[in-house]
Amino acid sequence: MRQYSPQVWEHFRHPRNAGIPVGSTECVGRGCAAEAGVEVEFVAVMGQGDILTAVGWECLGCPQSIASCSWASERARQSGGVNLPSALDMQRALGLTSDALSRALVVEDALHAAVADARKRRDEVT
Amino acid sequence: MTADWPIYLDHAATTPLDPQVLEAMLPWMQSMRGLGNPSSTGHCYGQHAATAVEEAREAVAALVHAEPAGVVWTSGATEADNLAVLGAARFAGQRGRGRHVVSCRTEHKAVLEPLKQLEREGFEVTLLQPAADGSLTVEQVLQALRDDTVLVSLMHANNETGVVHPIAAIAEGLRDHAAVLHVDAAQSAGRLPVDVRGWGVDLLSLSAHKLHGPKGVGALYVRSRPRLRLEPLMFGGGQERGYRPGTLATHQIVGFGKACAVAAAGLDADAARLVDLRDRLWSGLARQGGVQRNGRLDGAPHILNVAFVGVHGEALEAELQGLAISAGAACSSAEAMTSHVLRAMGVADDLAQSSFRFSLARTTTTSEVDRAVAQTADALERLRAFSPAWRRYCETGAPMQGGAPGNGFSPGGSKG
Repeated sequence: MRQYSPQVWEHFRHPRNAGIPVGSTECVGRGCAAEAGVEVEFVAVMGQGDILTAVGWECLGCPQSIASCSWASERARQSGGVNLPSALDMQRALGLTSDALSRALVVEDALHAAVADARKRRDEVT
Repeated sequence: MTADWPIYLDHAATTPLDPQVLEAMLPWMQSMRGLGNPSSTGHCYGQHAATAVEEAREAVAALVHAEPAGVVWTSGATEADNLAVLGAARFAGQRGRGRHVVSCRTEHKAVLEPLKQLEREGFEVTLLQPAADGSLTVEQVLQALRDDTVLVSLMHANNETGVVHPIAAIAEGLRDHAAVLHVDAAQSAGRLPVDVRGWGVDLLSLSAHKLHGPKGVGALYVRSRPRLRLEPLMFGGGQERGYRPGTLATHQIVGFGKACAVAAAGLDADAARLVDLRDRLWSGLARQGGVQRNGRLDGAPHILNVAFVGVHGEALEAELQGLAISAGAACSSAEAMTSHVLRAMGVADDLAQSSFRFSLARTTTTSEVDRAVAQTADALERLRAFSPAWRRYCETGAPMQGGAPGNGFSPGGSKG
């Protein structure tokens, strides 16, 4: 069995914002690293004032991928979507192994795409 | 087992030492009576040890219905496989009898790696392609034979899937061909009937620790009548008919012999009980839905290999801390680590990556099986709750990305 940092274990065991918020499935960002068997989907909801009001995710992946989704979603929500975390942020905060960086990049791609999609759709409405 | 240790269901990797085996071994490590070198038969110490070694040889031979004179002690099945494959092929090759060998893609690395060595030495190796359920047919083997084929090496029961090759029929088919038949029976001996003489097997690999004996000892059966000759891998004092020189480890050999005697006495009852436990495990796991059995229903009684749809193998392994099982490919790179056995069977990488081997033994209890099912069910429920692949599977019935829908999937249970 691989060894994981305590932060990875914490987020893997108790993932934050897991699942897709009801009624927001159109604002989806996806990422995939087929060679590692990792697949990530993020959904974001933007409210008034360019504030991220809800975020959710689904992940088929290893514990480090799942922990990255959990931590990144928490950071994104806390910042209201203003400062979206990068893969390097995830690596530093969670103590990801070097080979997990590619999976954190998948999470970054999916999160950023979901927020961009949500902004675009909100702008189209307004 | 210690209460907080995981439930051990990795008996295809190794089995606990039987208390009767330990009892038989102890005198050979504790007292002057166990001192002798079995080759030093000029005094009573050596004679005493030699007698014990020969009694063990008889017990090992009896388990597989072989003549005791054919049993050559080794350090385990890996050494036995190496001695069989390299020794038989080199002996024949050096005498101009041929340089072609037949085996299968699902063999253990202890056979596949020596085969690669033979290729480096100029041999040609034909690796047969198994069916999707891991099986081979007799016709496949016979069709691969050539006039210059000197060796056919096939395992009896596969160590990852439990799939059993039809060794008796293959041996019958080889009866009129000069090729030597080697069988790796490390997983089947003590769990399935093995009949070396009845089948007509020339070489057979065995391991003690796979059947509740000690680690570090095994045997290669080498047909003695008519005498089959091998090129040895090591050279020294001439022990074991010159095939495997070195002072014999009396305590381990005695333990191996006792393990074989115990296994032989309980073979039928143990096998029947293992089948019941394995089937109970499978039906419990199948109830979770989205599972695929890698292998066949009529496989070895102690092995169950299962792929779980909609979860990543490494995540499931991390969730199953309460179970000591073997992951098919729990790693960061599916390409690098996917089981060569599952790959040969055509199992898609994503399913191979979420495949696990559960392997049982006569020490396994019904309670352990039920707790294993419950822990796996909890882990699947948690991980599948946020798995896009599982959501897709529930919506469409498609296994996972890249995976082809197959009949082997169990759709039962709640998919939600």
